[in-house]
Amino acid sequence: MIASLILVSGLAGVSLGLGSRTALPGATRTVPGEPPSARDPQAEDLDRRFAAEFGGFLATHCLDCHSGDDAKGDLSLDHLRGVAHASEVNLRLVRDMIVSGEMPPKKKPRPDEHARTLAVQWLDAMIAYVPADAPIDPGWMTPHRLNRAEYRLTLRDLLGIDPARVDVAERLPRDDTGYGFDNIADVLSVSPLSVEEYLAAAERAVERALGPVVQVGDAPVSLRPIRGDNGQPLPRGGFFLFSNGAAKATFRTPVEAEYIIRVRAFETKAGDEHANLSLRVDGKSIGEARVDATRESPKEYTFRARLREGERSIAAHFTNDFYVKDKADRNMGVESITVAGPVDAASIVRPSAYSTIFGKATDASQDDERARTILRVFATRAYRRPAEERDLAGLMGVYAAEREAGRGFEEAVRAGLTAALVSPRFLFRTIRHPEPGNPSVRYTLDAYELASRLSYFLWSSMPDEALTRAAEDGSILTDDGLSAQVRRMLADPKADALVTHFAGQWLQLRSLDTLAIDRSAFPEYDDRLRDDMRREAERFFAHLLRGDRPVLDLIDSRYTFVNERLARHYGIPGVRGEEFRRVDLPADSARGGVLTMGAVLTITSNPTRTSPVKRGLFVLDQMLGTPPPPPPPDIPPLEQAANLGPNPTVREQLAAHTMVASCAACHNRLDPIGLSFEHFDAVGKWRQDESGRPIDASGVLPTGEPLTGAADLKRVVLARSDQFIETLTAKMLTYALGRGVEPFDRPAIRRIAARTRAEGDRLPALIESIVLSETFRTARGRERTK
Amino acid sequence: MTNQLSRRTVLRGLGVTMALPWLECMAAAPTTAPAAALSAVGSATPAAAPVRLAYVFMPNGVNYDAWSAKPGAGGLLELADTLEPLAAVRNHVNVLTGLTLQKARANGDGPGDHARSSASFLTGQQARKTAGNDIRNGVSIDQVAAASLGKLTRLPSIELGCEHGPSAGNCDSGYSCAYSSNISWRDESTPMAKIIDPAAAFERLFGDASQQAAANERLSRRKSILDFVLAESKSLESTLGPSDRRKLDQYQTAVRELEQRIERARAESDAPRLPSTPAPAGIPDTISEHMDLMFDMLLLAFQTDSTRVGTLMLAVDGSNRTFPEIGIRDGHHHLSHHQGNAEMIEKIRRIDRFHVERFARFVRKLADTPEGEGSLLDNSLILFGGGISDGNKHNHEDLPIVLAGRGGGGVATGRLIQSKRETPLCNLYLSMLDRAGCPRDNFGDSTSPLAIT
Repeated sequence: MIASLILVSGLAGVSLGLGSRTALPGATRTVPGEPPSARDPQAEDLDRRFAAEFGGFLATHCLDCHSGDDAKGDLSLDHLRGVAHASEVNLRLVRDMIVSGEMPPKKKPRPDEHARTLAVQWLDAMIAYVPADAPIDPGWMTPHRLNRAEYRLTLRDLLGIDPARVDVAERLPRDDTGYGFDNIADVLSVSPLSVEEYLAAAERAVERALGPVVQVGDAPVSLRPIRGDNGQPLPRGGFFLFSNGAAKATFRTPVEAEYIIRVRAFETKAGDEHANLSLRVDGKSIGEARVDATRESPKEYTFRARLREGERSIAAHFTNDFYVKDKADRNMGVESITVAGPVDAASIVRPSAYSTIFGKATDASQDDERARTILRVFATRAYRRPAEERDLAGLMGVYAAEREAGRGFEEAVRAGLTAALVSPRFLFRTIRHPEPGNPSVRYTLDAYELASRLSYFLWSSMPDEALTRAAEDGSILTDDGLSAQVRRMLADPKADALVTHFAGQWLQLRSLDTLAIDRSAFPEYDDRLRDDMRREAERFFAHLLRGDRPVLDLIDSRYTFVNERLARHYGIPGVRGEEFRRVDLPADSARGGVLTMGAVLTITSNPTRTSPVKRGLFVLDQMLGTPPPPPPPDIPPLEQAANLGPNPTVREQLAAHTMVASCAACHNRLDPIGLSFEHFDAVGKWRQDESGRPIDASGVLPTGEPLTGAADLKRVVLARSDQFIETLTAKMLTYALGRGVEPFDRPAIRRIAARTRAEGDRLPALIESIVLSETFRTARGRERTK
Repeated sequence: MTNQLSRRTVLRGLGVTMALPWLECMAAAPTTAPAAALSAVGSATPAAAPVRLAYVFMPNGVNYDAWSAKPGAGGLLELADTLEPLAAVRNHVNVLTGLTLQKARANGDGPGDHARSSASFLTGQQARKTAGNDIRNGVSIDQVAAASLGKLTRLPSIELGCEHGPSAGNCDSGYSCAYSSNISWRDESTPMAKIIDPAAAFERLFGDASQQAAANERLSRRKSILDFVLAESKSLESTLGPSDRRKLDQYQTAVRELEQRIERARAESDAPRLPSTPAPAGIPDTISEHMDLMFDMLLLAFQTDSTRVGTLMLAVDGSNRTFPEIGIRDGHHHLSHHQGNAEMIEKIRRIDRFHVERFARFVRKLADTPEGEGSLLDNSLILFGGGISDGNKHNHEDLPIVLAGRGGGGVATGRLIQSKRETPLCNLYLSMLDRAGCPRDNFGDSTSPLAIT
């Protein structure tokens, strides 16, 4: 513990702020200090929205009174033309007046409700706007409860419980999501139900990982009943065999181990040899014995055998029947069968976690000391930092209470292990900010806190040994040491968690499972095709990660990953079998990038047809970070507005939007984007026509850029690659921090994105840039919100 | 415990289908809480059965034109169209009109009516608009009731649902999915997670049968583990800032509650009363079976007096599920924005009717379950409805609300209770609390109790 304290204080001097970090080795790797480019898409967006959504409102409802030198209430708004002079106006006051309905005054014309909403939205966005070159504010770190996925994977690494075989998190309540992710600390609350389930899950996990508690020794259990064939039951249990046959019973072993099996038997002698007893377990011979005891004084014949876990059939076979009518009759009687064991601890086959946790046995006088060691080692792993005396005292208290209640050593230790798994130090990730309530105090995460944050970002699980070592020796606190860990960890199969959990949520692949595509309308869409679609997107993202590929491949690429079924769906020839493989796409292929993958095209559709609105929203929100506001309620019936005929196409229905001014502002942005994908049906299959009418995928963006289809749209997004990379950065930062990005995060996002661009846009470089950022490595206190 | 088990065995042997209703339990264990508690909560007649409260939520608004109830000949409620399935039990229900959820409106927060409708449905509070950072709502009415009534039963309350929140993507217009996926809130930042799997609900109510043997030893171990956890949590909390302490507060509250339950279980006054119905196997394939099973769990919970307060979310607000059983292959939310399209409006009507059918079945079962002089339904107040009136308009006045049961006898049923427009839904909540014996002066945006007696 002392070591880690020194690390903390030693560090405080070197990495508070970017400036002093230049003194560190490897400082050239830090993010460039200059604003990456003069363009600020967010400011441009605000200016554009001012013109489209607020300027008119201002002119109509405000400027009559609030302009010039004699402006009412001393509030002059005529300078307000967008971002440029916005800071000179008390925007919050303007907003509050409009929201409360005090302005415009009662006697003046009332603004249209939708116009009012747009006005308030612009004001809110403007109030939240932070210039891209403002100083970095790392924000706070809320105590972060492990979510279900993290819990599952942490128990895999802590106790060796394979999630593919046992889902320890099955009964934990679903985590609510925020910002599109299920790992947002503020959203991960704890209800009485979750505590109950955590306790039950911990009990099950310990049992599962260590196997049952077994008493070693030679206490025999007599097996009843004993049944047989070719004979008759003996008066006091047991079975008498007239001719070749077996007396059988069953025994359930708690674990695989060596056991002693004793058969109490006798013979009725005849011929020149004794009765032969062959002992078989589950039909397999264990050994033989010559039964030379008489009925008056039966003897015990002893076998030692390794028995697998579970119910075993144990049979004493009589194999050398001898019978001469009226002269000789050799028989065998089995009075009892007993099993004792496991005979010794060494023979017990334990799950691997058992020896990791319990280590070597010592004599009983050392029990308490041994318990302390076991619990210290376990708590250090479970709490992801060296266990302190205080932690240990509590766990030893649980152990001691069990011992006092008469429980054995192992059971008492297990209670301690279970307790550690319900401890908030296990269930929550926290940091030791010295003034957690003070937003002006910046704290640099200590080595263990940083290791945990990193590990849950990349692996959704606890640090492994190598990462823990890097925390112990402090190397993780240097840029080089941290980068080295990132690269090592991304190469590890555990980084698949980043694919399933980050990409799975960002691209909404997870929604595929609950999506109710109308299968009568799309008969080719079945569970297998659906899973293939998800796998394609996951394989693609994993390839960017492991193949060190630029993130722009997400927008367009000349390759993808398919198996035969998916290739057929896409119309790609020459792919055979279930195996996924990389295929090169022809230059004129409509595929390439995630937007034209089956998964994304399906997720953004309605159950029975495509939804260009959802597709447009997906591009604007997930790729460009500029989602339009949601539609107002009580939309007028569009068919009437547009005078539509029966059975209108999607395009015709959408065209009606332009007839209604309150719709047009947003749908002029959404619809052309979504319609450019119209050649792909609701399950992402290419089509030339829709119910007999040829597809028209053309359109014009509000900027005037014409589109003829998805390929053009991809080019348009690629032309905004800065904006795309900043959007992806913001999404990934949300996931990495477990909190929503706030306006104050903008400068950090810009720098991370710029560093990524400088490193060739590679996905691993983006991840590394996030990890190396101040936002990831430091935290400030959090003011108490009202 | 032994005593009760043997009684149960006897009852089973006699072919009694259901286990001990609450009165039987009292007789079996005269020292248990319910007897003492009844006078404590000031029930009108000391010998009466306790009042149970449940709140059943359906999402996305309804086709309100088809939500047809009117006072008919002889003062009898006439139910038609969407509400027709309730006609068979019309003597047991009231249909309420004119109720409003003021706090589900934007009130300056812009779009997000779905999230607000579920968030405010039982809280009467304006949910703080956030996609996650700094979630803030209010305590819900069921949890207010549970704070009083919950002390008397093994579980203070039970939260059930028939649909998980989404696992990816956003929910509604900048609101975290916590708002649209939960209606029950323990405190302003703690939604009560709901159980979706009927098997898990059964296990929570009645325990895991396979573990009964080692139960006592397990209880004492659990107790000592929870003591430890509580101490740990306090020590960790002391290192956190004021806003972060909330997290650990939630945790400690939950731990304490579990401790109390263990204490009671150890005192053996509180052994789960197992119903003789078998435990469900898991989530059924069809929505109707799933909903029916969750309703059954609520019924079992009330019948065995395992709890007196429950919530059930038939789906999360904004739910886009399809209803293949009744031939509806478009998503519910998508259809609710019908923009006047007649075909879509008709489909919404059929979905509404489907929900009402499920509810009517539940009401009938409650009415068929004898308790004391009357039925379990007589001793219950079950609210059924949603926080949006018309899904196309997203309006929060004229909410579709049905109240079933007589609340221990005081509530007159079979009526259409028409309130003045803009009457707060919370007024009804006040009256329900009052019938359950835990009156309060105000809740949410309530103005005065609604006359339901």
